[in-house]
Amino acid sequence: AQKKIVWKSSSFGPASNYSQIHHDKCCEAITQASGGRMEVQAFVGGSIVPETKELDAVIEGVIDLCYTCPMYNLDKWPAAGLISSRPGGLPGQYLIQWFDYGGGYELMNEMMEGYNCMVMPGFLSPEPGEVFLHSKVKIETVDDLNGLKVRTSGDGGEILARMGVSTIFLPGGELYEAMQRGTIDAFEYAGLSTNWSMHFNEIAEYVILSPVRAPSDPHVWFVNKDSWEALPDDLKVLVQNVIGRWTQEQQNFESHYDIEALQNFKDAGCEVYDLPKEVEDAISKEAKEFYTEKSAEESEVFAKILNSMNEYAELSGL
Amino acid sequence: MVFLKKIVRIIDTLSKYSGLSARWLAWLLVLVGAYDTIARHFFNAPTIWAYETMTMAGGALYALGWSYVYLKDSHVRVDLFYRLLSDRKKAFMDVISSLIFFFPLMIVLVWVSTKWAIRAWRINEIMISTYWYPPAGPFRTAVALGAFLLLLQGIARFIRDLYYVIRGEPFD
Amino acid sequence: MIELSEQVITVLMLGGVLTLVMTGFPIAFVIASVALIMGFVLFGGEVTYHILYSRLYSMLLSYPFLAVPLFTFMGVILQMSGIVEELYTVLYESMSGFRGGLAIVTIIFGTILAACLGVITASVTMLTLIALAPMVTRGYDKSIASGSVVAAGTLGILIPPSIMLVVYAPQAGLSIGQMFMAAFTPGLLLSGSYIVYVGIRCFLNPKLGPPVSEEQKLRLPFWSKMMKLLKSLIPPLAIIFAVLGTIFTGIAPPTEAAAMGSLAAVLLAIIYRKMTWDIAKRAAVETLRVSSFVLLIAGICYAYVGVFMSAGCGRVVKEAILAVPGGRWGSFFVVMVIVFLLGMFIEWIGIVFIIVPILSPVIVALGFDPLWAGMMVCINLQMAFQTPPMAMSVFVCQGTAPPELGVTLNDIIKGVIPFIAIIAFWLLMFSIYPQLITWLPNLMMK
Ligand code: NA
Ligand code: NA
Repeated sequence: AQKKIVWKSSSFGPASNYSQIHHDKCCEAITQASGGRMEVQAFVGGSIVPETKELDAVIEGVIDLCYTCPMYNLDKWPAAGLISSRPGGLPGQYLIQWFDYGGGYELMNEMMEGYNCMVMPGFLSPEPGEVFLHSKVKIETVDDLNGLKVRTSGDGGEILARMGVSTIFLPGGELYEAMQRGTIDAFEYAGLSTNWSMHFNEIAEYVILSPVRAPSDPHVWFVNKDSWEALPDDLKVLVQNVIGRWTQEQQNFESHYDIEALQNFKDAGCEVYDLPKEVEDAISKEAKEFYTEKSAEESEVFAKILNSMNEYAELSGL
Repeated sequence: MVFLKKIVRIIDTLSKYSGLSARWLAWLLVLVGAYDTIARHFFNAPTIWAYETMTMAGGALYALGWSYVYLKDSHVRVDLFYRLLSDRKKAFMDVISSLIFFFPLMIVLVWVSTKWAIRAWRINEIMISTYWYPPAGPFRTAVALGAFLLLLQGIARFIRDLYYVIRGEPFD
Repeated sequence: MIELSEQVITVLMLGGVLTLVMTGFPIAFVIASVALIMGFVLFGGEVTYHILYSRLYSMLLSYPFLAVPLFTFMGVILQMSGIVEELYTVLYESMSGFRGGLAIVTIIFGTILAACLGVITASVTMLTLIALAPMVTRGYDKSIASGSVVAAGTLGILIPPSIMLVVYAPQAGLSIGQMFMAAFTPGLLLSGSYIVYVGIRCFLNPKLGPPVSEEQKLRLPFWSKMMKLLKSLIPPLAIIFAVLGTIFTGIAPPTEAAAMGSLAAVLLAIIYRKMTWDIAKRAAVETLRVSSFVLLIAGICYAYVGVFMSAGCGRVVKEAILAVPGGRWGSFFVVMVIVFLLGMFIEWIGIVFIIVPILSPVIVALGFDPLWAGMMVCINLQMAFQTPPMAMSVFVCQGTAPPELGVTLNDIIKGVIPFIAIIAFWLLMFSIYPQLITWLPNLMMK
């Protein structure tokens, strides 16, 4: 009999994170479906390499597979931030389409050229848009952003800072208390369902919704090229199909639970409202300028990805 | 012998000055941390550079301190049995332990940290905890340098211990 | 690459560390080498090097861990400038007339110091320098005297601020502020029990802690005594406000609060005209010395855990502990015993970094409140500082004590045993009445 193929895979944790949970289920599904020919061991983020450094571990061959936010890899690829939760990005279903059929995954592979890792169709789960902000202060006009102390990250933070927001950096673990004690006024985190699971209703009265800051929060599977090449063809099909099913599964799961979480926030006494259009437009405008400036400074592939996503949005009538 | 003594002395000096220069990073930590707190809370003017300046200053403080700490023999030991030994036997134990626990490890660490430092400069790696995006090269280099100086200090210790084991008298 | 069962690997990795540290070689190198060798055998070189380096590197850049150099810096400035010592003198003058009064003063002073300082060496060193000689020269039993110094000094690592809690919380996914809150009650209960213990022993046998009668002559009118007390309380209160006040009023998270505390210590030293160029240099180098080795061990242990988990040993430990008879309490008891035994031999940082990532999922799986369980582990670890052979507080006390006092290692060890028993007693109490730990953080959270 042929020797069992053993892969190691990791998401970025912690164990209770929805992406980690779906990652673990997906690994288990591959193992099961392979009928004993393959085992994908699932590890919690931080157990093998530091949290959010999973893709480096894939590239170095420490693990074979990982499920993570492209944004965590800005350190090597500034363009990774484009296929992440960012202002002006594509909303969920459009992002999947762009990634699978609109040239997305090829561009991502181009971005990662020279590194021992790759993506393929089905490897991206867009996840629904994030909550704009959880806030102690009601934001109704652009002026309300001025001087607001907000814990942010990524391009969204930089764009808000350009609009006068006082952006503050805190490790995720200190967020809850910093809000409670008034060190910060507002913060961004993830989508409604994840945020509900973090009990954010306890620390912020206003739940402000808008896709303007992060229309989707894509998580992507990355595989080590050598590990992939070493797979027999039938297992390649199996792995790709199972991953494709679970990325869609997570998208559906989160979209469903976001509906429930929305009601939960309301029932808990939070005021849930849509960010006024005036503020949305101002942020969109600022974001456009920001990316135009940035793509002039960055590598060729940055502009390529940005333009491709923008064109896709236009074609889709967004 | 004179040559060896000279080498050991040079290594000691390197370790000493590595520690004595890096110590000022401790003051930098205090001042930057307090400045950021005051600027944010009392003037609503948080900085985007304090967070990563502090983490890098702290990391460089530790890494550049390693050799200094080894020079001063302040790395923690479990001396349950070690303490009972004569000085010469201690030196003998350290010679053997260095060969097993120190040199292979440190050669690996120096090699891998140098590799990543070179990579950081080559690909223009940046730090991404904030959108300040400082280059990672200098810090990765500081870690590699700290590891390298620690390896050197280990060599100096090894020479001292070996000399003591063979000759039965202190090296200097 | 060799095939070994996960159980064998687990035994080799844990056993390897426990036996090889006995060579007396610096533990950071021993632990790292065990990880390197096992990783090399199991996964090959490249993979192992990456695990070791990436984890060490990320630990060096840890933001929460900046509390280690910052609290060390603050402690060293306070210690070298001597600005909080006046408080001891005032307490001394008012309490030395009672049996055991000086030991009680030592514990009270140690408790106040504990709320100022976040690192252990600073509080034990200061207590030894300030309080040990007055007790021993006035006929106090050396064991009672040094035991009080070590036990009260060690409270510095439990009562917030505390680098142990700062280090523990992120490892277990807990908030630092909540751990600080949770630590107040146990810390003060321990302190109170120490006072009761010393008081009773000396009351029953005045030879252990005779009253100091001649000091009584220094009687001052009540109000001027109070003025003196208030004045002497200014520096410690300023420090407590700078750190704990900063955290609990939301001015800054713990790391920056440590920076504020350091700044406050420097400003106080300047105001009291105790700041010198020499102190500025020595404080910096002492900070480098302490934090450099602490973070090396921390990073190395973190790297070791990477290899350990990667080899599947986490599962083995989890299954073994869950299989202990006696249900969840049986398993929890075993966890506590493991922590205690490790605490006898290994530096606490090593324990926090090795066992917390391995055991905290187990504790959660057992259905215990992670905050309560984390606090239990930290209180338990408090004993580690005082249990030989690896007893940091005991060594610091012995190393700092003026030789002419003639306090031996044996005196100190004999002295700390009852205090260890008191801690063990409270661990039992906290298991029966977990709300003793959880009420304060729950109160603050709602
Ligand atoms: Na303390
Ligand atoms: Na101990």
